Amino acid sequence: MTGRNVLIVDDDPEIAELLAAVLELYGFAARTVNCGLDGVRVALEHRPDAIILDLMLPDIDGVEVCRRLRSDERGKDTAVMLLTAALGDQHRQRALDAGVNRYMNKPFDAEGIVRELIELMESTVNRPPVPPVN
Amino acid sequence: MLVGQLDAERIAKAVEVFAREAYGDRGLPNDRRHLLEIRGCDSLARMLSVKGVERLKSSLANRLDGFAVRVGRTGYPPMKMTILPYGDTSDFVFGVDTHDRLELPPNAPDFEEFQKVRQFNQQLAGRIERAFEAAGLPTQASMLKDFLRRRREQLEAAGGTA
Repeated sequence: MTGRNVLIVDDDPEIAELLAAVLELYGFAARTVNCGLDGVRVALEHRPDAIILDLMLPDIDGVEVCRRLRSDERGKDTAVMLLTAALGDQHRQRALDAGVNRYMNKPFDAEGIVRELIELMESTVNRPPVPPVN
Repeated sequence: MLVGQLDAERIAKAVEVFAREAYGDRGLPNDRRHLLEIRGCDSLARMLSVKGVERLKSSLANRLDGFAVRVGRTGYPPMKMTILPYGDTSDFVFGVDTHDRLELPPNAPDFEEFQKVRQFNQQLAGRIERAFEAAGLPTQASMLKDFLRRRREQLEAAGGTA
């Protein structure tokens, strides 16, 4: 997974940066943004291999971010993992309908999210590796 | 032992930390002071009998249930302290549920006002979680920091990368 690009969209800058640091330890190249509209813009502009997306964002929520990505040719194949603090599954169907590939509960443990991300990318990423974006 | 590695004393301490941020130096208002009864609870059943404490049932078979304590804040009583399982581990972390997820269309009359409330809640939640961490209580951020520190030490000792 060395050099694979991951975009983290989380409204908590500290969590986003900590998660980016975790992913970088495992060889990923991580970029962070803190709102949904920036998430859509950066994802379409830089075409990361995967996006880790918080459900709760200050402008549009994570499901809406995914829906907008899927409606654009540049974002339709990107692997998307949605994070949410909701323990129930009320958002699950809405997320899957929007094209979310994987759903993970917050709080997440570091090794668990890396494992899920690797599985997600192995199952969905067909594009060849691209140079890291910084 | 009450909830994973968290005992009643630590949960009550977290309530006090939350209340200090949410209500200022006067701490919990009178109608929430009973939450400190958690300190004396010697079982999960007893803690769940305290008014304002609830179990958050997990929909995942392999995941432990979480808990919420309705501490509230000045002007917004529904805000909650959460005690949630940390991933697939047996650890728990403290956090904040702002309890303000409401699907309001942008043209709704209260939309702007509610956005301000949500923004305030989010900022307060951040302050509370930092205060938890400063008090030595586990949070999502503190667990990630601990992991990074341990992992870097392991890599340094091994002289390589992941």
